[in-house]
Amino acid sequence: MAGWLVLIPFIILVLMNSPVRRIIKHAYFGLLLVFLSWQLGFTIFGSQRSLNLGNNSLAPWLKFQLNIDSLSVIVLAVISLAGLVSLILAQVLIKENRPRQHFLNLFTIAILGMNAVTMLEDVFSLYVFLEVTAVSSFVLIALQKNRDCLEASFKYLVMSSVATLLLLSGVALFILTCSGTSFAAISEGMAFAGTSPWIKVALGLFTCGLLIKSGMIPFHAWVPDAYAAASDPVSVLLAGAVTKVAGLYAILRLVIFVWGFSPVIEQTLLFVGALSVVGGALLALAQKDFKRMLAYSSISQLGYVLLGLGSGTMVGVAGAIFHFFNHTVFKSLLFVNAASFKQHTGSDDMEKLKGVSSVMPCSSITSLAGFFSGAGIPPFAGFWSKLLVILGLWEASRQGYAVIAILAGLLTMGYFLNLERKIFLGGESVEFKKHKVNNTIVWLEVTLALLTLLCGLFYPYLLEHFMLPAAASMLP
Amino acid sequence: MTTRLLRSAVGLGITSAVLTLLMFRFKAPLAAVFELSVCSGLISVVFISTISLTQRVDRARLAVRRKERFGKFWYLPILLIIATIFLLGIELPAFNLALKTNISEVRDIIWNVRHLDLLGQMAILLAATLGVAMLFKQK
Repeated sequence: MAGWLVLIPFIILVLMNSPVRRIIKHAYFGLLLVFLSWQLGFTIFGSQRSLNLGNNSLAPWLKFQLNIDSLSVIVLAVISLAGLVSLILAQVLIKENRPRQHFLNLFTIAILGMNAVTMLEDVFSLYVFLEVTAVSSFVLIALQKNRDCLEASFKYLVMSSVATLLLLSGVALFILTCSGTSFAAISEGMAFAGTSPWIKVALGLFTCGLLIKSGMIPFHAWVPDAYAAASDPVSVLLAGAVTKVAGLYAILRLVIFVWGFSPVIEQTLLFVGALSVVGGALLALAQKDFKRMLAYSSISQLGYVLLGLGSGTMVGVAGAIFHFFNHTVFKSLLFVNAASFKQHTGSDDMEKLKGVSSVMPCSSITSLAGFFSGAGIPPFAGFWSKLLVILGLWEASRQGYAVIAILAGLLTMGYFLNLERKIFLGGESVEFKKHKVNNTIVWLEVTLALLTLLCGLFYPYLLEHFMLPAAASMLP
Repeated sequence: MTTRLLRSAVGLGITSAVLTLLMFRFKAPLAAVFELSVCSGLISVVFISTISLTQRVDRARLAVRRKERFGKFWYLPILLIIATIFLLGIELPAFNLALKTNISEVRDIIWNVRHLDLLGQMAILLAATLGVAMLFKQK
């Protein structure tokens, strides 16, 4: 099963770029939709044993060293959810055949890369598939070929190259000090030569590389441009999955399998997390562009994930994993709202959204669900995950960081209130294009809004069956 | 500026290729496969495509530039031939970059040890190729 999650996208990609595609011209979207739905269904309903079953029944040269554990199940669900939203949005918004074909090709490669990153147990393979995800993302950001897109793509390319350099240097040092590049070999090497300064340097380089990929403060320079300039389906994919899987989740995986929860690691995660939570929220307050505001908000929200992880407690880590999932749901919803508002007003400028609720009631009301979840208002899912993170910090006697997390929640409420004030109380703008919003987009908005509400209402079930087992597998 | 960056990208690709050859000759096939993975054209291809997009060039100017480019790099084929003769003709001492592995065959490493990376490399090259095809396509 694990191997097929990487192989199937590759087969679809090759098939849809071969002469066969002339026969099944319009099947690309359908194939990807079926694959992602299947992936989502299997990760939610399949047991861990069944997910790993069949890895060795593939041909000898296809026996991939991949493993699905209770944490990767959640991440695979996140990838498929963000992927599905992005795919459906692209089908609606990208009208011409050729750009749609380009999008689908690169989207498939990005999904392949992220799926592999989720299940790998080798630092060098991790590097290779991080690059697969990054290269497809560079081109996806530049898809519209206008000046802003190309500039954002180039910025991401430069930052990502720096990250690559750091990751590779880290891998080189791991090879010199340990007996291989697998997680087990590095972990063993660290136990043997844990005090070696080279190991510490390698750890530092690798962590910095991954923090750049995840766009956390102070490595965030590329994030706002990339999210704001990219087309809406690409923004959903970047915010919902790419930055999380290629950066944050890779850090998580290394913490679990390689270096464990040491005080230094916890302190680093807490520091970067607090910086991102506060910095992201303050920068979001100052934005006038809807998507740019969402980009800074993403930085801030992912800071909560780092804070929960840094607490090192069962409750905090479960909260971090829950917030990791919740963020995908409510941020995808808000990006779909942004796409819908843009369709109607022709702009991402929040000033131009004044009074949009009178003509777009569905998008406006569903944006409230995203706002409530992001700001941590009960009973929406974001409230419970943030609460767990704060409780975890308190339990770990990190009261200072807990207070920062609470205060940053107020800042979050500030920038979301600013948005909602314009939408609902701004007085009708005369500049609306009066285009009818596509029904599929409305359907997407309602589904995501319901999902964030249901995740909040049924959080004990999610916590018991998904988040706590994942947290238990991470902690010693 | 663009020409200089372009030259640095081409230089990067050639250096990577020579480094890979050197590692094979030094009997460090695993490191050579790693180097291949790293360079597999991705950095060069994406770098070149992005740089080239910063300026619009008409066909006549492009032809002149192409000629100039070949003129500037006339020494590269000679260097490559000399390097190949040097690498093939000299017996070099063996070392394994401290990797405790008995695998000596490059084929084994690529097909039995790092075959998942191979899939990743193919995906990177596909993404880069699709990117170049998409970004350079004239309307």
